[in-house]
Amino acid sequence: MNGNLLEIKGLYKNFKKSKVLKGISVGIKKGEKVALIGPSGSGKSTLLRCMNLLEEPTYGEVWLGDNLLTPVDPYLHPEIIKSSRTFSKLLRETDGSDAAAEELVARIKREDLLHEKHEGLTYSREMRDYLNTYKIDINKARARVGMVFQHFNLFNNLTVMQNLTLAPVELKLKTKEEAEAKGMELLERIGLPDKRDVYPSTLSGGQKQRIAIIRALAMNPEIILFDEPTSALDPEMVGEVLDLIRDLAEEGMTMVIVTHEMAFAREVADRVLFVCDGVIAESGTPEEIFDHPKNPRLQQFLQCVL
Amino acid sequence: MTFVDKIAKLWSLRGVFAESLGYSLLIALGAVILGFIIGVVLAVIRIAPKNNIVVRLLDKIAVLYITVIRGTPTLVQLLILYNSVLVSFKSMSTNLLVPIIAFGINSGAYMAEIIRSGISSIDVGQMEAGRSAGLSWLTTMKKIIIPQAIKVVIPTIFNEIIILVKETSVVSYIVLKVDSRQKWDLLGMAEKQGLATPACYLTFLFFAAIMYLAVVMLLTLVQHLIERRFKKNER
Ligand SMILES: Nc1ncnc2c1ncn2[C@@H]1O[C@H](COP(=O)(O)OP(=O)(O)OP(=O)(O)O)[C@@H](O)[C@H]1O
Ligand SMILES: [Mg+2]
Repeated sequence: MNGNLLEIKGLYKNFKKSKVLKGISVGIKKGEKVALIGPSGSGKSTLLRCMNLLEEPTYGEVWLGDNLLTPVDPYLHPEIIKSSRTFSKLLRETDGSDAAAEELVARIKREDLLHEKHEGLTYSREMRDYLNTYKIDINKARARVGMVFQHFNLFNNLTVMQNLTLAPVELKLKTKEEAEAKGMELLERIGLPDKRDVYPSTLSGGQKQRIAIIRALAMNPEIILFDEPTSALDPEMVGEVLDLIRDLAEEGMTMVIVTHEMAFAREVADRVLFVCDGVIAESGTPEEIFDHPKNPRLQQFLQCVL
Repeated sequence: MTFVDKIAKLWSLRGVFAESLGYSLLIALGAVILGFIIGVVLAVIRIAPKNNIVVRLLDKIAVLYITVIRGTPTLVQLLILYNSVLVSFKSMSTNLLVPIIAFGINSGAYMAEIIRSGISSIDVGQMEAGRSAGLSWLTTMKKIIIPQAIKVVIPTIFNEIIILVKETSVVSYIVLKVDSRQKWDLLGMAEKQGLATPACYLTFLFFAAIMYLAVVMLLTLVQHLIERRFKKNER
C-alpha cells in the first residue's frame, strides 16, 4: 500500500484502563531507518511491539506491505462505516447531504458508535470481504519481520547454531543444511564461528546480542525491529553491537530502532520519531529533531539526555 | 525362631520377593510415564492463552481434574477404579494395568501443577522470541519453553516419583482383598508371607522397608546425576 513496507494506521493501545498509545500513524519505506526516541514510559516499546503484534492494538491497523496483520478497524474505512445500520439510522435524522454524511462518519468515529453485532448484513459482509482480501496469518507475517530485544532472549536450551536454525527449519524456509550453511556464514561475519556449539549462558552480553541480531538475519527479514539493543550491555560491549547494526543499515536493511543512544540515532537514522505521552509528538530528519527541535517537550527531553 | 532362622526363611523367599519388588517398580514406572504425559498436557492447557472457547472448556476440565484428584485420598481413587474397572474387565485384575492407570491418573494431577509452575518460571522473553520469529505458540512451547521448564522442575518431579514408589504399596491393601491370584507388590508379598509365617512377619516388614529405602536412595542418586549433567551441558 502506497509504497510503505510497514504501515501503522490510527493505532491505539490500552492496557486495562491505562491508555498507552493514543492515535499513531506512521509508514516505513523499504530501506528506511527510523529511530524512536522519547522519555521512559512514553510507549516506544509498546509501539514497536505493535509492529509485529507482540502487543495487540486496541484500535487501528498494522500493515506489512499489502497484508493486514490486525483485524479490520472499521473506523479507518468510511465505506465500511457507511454500510452500517447505525450510519443509515442516524443519516435519516439529517438532511442526507454529502456534507452531512461526512460529518456523520466523523461523529461515529469520534464517539465510537459502531456495535459489531448490530450493524447488519451489509456491514458484516464488507468487513469479511476486507479481511478475506488482505488478512495474513500472523506467523507468516512475523517470519518476515525480525525482532531484537533489550535482553537478547536467545533460546537458553539450544546451542548457538540451533538458535540460528530453529525458526528457518521449523517454518520450512530452509532445509537443515541450508540453514546451517547460512548460520555459519553469519557467525563468520560477526567473528564467532567457534561459538557454534556452545550454549548462550557461556557468552558475553555483546556476543549474545550480536547472535540475536544474526538470528533475526537468518530469516532473511524484510525489516528488523530493535528495542533498545544496547541498554542491557556493559559499556565496553555497546560498540561491537552498534557496529553490527550500522553495517546492516549501510547494506540497506529496513529498520526501526528504539534507542537512548542519541548519537547513534543521529548517525544512522533517516528519520527520528519523538514519542511522548502515547503520540508521535514530533518527527523529522536527525538534523531537524536534534538541531532544531520545535516541540517544547522534545527540547526539554534533549536537554536531559544530551 | 532365632534371628538366623528368620533370615534363612527370608533368603529362601528371595525369588518371590525380588519378583514382587519388580512389580512395585513396574507400577511406579508405568505411573510416572503416564502421569508425566498427563501432567504436561494439563499444564499446557492450563497455561494456554484463553482466547477461544475450546481452550476455555479444556481449561475448566483440567481444573476440575486437578482439584478432584488432589482433593481425594489415593486409596479411595484406587478402590473406585478397581471396583468399577474390575467388574467389567475381570482379566485386568491379574496384570498391572489397573494400578498403573490409577497411580498415573493420580500422579498426573500433581505433575500438572509442578510442570505448570516450571513453565511460569521461564522468562516471557523466550516465548516472545519464538513468536516473533514466526513460530506458533505450540511449537515454541514444545521446542523452547517445555524443555527449559522440565529442567527447572526435575528435582520436584523426582520428589513426586519417590512419593509414587512408596505409595504403590497401597495396592497391597487391594490385592489382598480383591483377588488372591494376583501379582503381589512388595508390601503385599511381605503381608502374604507374614500371614503364612507369623513369626517372621516383622522381619518381612523390615525387609520391605529396607528395599523401599534402597530404591528411594538410588532415585535420589539418579536425580543428582541428572541435575549435574544438565548443569555441565550448559557450561
Ligand atoms: N503489559 C503491560 N501491562 C500494563 N501496562 C503496560 C504493559 N506494557 C507497558 N505498559 C505501560 O505502558 C507504558 C509505556 O510502556 P513502554 O514500555 O512502551 O514505554 P517505553 O517508552 O518503552 O519506556 P522505556 O524507555 O522505559 O523502555 C508504561 O506506562 C507501562 O507501564
Ligand atoms: Mg521500552
